Amino acid sequence: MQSTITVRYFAILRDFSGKNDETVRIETGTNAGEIYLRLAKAYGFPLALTDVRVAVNDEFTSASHPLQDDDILVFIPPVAGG
Amino acid sequence: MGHKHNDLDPIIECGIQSTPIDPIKCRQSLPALSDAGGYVCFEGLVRNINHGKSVVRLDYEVYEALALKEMYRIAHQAVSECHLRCVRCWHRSGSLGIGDTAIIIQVLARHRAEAFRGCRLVIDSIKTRVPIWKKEYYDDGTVSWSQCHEHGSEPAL
Repeated sequence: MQSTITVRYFAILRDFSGKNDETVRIETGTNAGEIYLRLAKAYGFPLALTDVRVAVNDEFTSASHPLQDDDILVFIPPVAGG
Repeated sequence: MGHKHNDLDPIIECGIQSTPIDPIKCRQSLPALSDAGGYVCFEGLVRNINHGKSVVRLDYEVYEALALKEMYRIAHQAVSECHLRCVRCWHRSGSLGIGDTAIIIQVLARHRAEAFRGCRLVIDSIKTRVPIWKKEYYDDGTVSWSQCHEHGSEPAL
């Protein structure tokens, strides 16, 4: 079964993807880490999966999080607030 | 002016703002808590040098929904670990110049030791945990996302 998710991009990942967000068709249950690797290859992200944190639906989670229809997925590069 | 709070519940207020932070107004609106004898305020300012490069301005980008949640979690954690009476924190988004206030943290506690410790905990946690990014513009025309937070490079108290 297929699902549609939204990926939002911030900071250096937005620069590399050239977009704020996009919808991505996935096999339901694909985990967030697999999506990152796919996108990293497509856009040439300069960060490894281990360098980013994962958020789904505005909450931190792990790269093994299985994705469902309508999920909003964000990969968080190293932060630099304060 | 600050208003009187008799409630024993701690006061926690966090925000992201795209307009300049006015430290005088923040001080004036500080809640008046009659049992709080220690007040510590930290302001982070935009510095003109980072990693040896001359910075002319920067942009803060914020994942606002999650940043706010995480700021509130940090504030609650500081309140509980350091027995604080009040934590207020605002972080800027958007474009800032040298010397601008990037963040302000106000902490009230019964005594100064708790207030210092709580304020330090809040700023150190924000630097490592809150999804905010800094794009630096240098005087040689180059631009880069600041990749390393400063946690660990600051001397311990």
